[in-house]
Amino acid sequence: MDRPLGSFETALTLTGEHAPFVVVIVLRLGTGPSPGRLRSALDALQTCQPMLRVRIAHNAGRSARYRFESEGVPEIPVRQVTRRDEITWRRETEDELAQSLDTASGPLVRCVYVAPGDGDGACDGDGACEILLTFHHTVMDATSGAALLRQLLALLDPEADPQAPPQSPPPSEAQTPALFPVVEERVPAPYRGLRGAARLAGFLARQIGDEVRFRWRSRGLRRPPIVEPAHCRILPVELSAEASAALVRALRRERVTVNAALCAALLIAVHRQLYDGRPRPLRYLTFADLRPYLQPPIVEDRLGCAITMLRYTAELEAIQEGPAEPGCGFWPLAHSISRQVDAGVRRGDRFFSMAMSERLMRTILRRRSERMAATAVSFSGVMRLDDPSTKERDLVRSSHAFVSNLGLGPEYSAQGRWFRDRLQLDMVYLESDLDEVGAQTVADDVLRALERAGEVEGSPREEAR
Amino acid sequence: MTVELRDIQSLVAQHLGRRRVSPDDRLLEDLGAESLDVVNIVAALEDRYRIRIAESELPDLRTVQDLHRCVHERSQRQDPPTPRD
Repeated sequence: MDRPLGSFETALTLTGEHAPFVVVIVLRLGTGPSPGRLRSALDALQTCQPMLRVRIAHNAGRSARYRFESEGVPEIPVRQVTRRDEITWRRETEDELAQSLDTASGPLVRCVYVAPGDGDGACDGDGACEILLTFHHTVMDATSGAALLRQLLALLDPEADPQAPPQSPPPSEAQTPALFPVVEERVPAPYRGLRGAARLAGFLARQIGDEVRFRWRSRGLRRPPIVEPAHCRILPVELSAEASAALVRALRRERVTVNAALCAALLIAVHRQLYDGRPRPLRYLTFADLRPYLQPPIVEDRLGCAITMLRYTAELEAIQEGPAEPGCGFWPLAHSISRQVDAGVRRGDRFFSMAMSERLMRTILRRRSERMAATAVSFSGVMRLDDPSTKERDLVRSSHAFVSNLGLGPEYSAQGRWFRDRLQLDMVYLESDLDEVGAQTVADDVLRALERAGEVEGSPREEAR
Repeated sequence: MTVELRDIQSLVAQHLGRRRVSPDDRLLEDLGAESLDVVNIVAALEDRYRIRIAESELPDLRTVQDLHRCVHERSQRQDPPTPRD
């Protein structure tokens, strides 16, 4: 059952050794479960999901430096705190983002229960609560986050018998109790062997070319400082349902993905807030879910990490002087990013980026010479709880996902998803990069750019003028 | 007006550069569609059948058959659609 970590999993683990690097999933409930109910739900979840029963062993003398091992892993720890106000969960989330997990002992998850009351452990049944689950990134990504929320809500069902055995485990787990598979072993044939080597050479040549061009074109311009230790702040925001629907109509008309639109809006906002307004290249990170493209594909009900990180360079226009004009230059950049990412994934960048991720991360951590990018956007179409036929609609106030940033990471990141037909963005920034006002300005710029994109019916070129 | 499955198959095949697709083919896993392909296919369906498909519904539209079902249901709810080329 134990296995070595894959390349991307190793890169995530190396990052976590450098600085706290975790994923925090937040479930906000209108009515909280009793602590006992939460305990039994977490136990059931741990029983169903093998990746919640592992730790990471570090074998320095062997070629495979890290291994998932499952022997002697304790139950998921739960810390209960009193919910004082509506922002208690935000402060707790920020604290969680700043604390590493004990990977040597496991499990690679812990829980904070933000419950109302006087600290006696009781949730009286009519108070709002938040459940924060903090994961090592190797066992959690956006697709897994969606599966986690579905399974956890089923286990927390207040109508279910608290003494009843765990809900039926996901079918795949019932049949296959193995750990989440090594993603690298399921890369499609065109990206392996000799054909794969030739394509990998092309990928590396493009990466080197991009590096040279980026350095040349950004010479003399602002380079973001490396700040360590870094403290994360969070800023959850969302578009209204009307603006979200209008944005989708505009994106369909323009044939642009939601991910590209978010990348463009965030890059423009960060350029305006943190850079000097001159035309310049900026790097952005985006992420690709590998599950459907692996052979065989990985089913979505298994918790694990099957994503890869893609880094590209975008050309930003000059920022006009005077009052900010949200949306200016949005469509040309969104089109450019949409094309750039699409061309990259069709060339196989997601597989090559994954294969090279461990080496890339070792280089970045050794050199510590520059930040990885200006922005990072992860958009998931699957991490949603919006089926009006389910009773979760009454129970769930919202759900969120945040990933720790670090001093070598992007200056501003956003996890995007649909929640009840609204585009929701969970933003993370470092307080050494931005104060609260500056961070809010970036978020407002992003929202206004997206709102305006939905309002403008003209062609992108007309809009840009 | 009934939305024909073969019309949906034809539209998907055309967008993905395939000679033919089957109703049970999964867009991503079997046909290798990328995110932008899905955007283009959904946008083309919306234009052709004058319907709206919410972004949050896309993850449920996994197969060609799912697309057909969705378009058929939408077109029944709205004014009689007039397929356009």
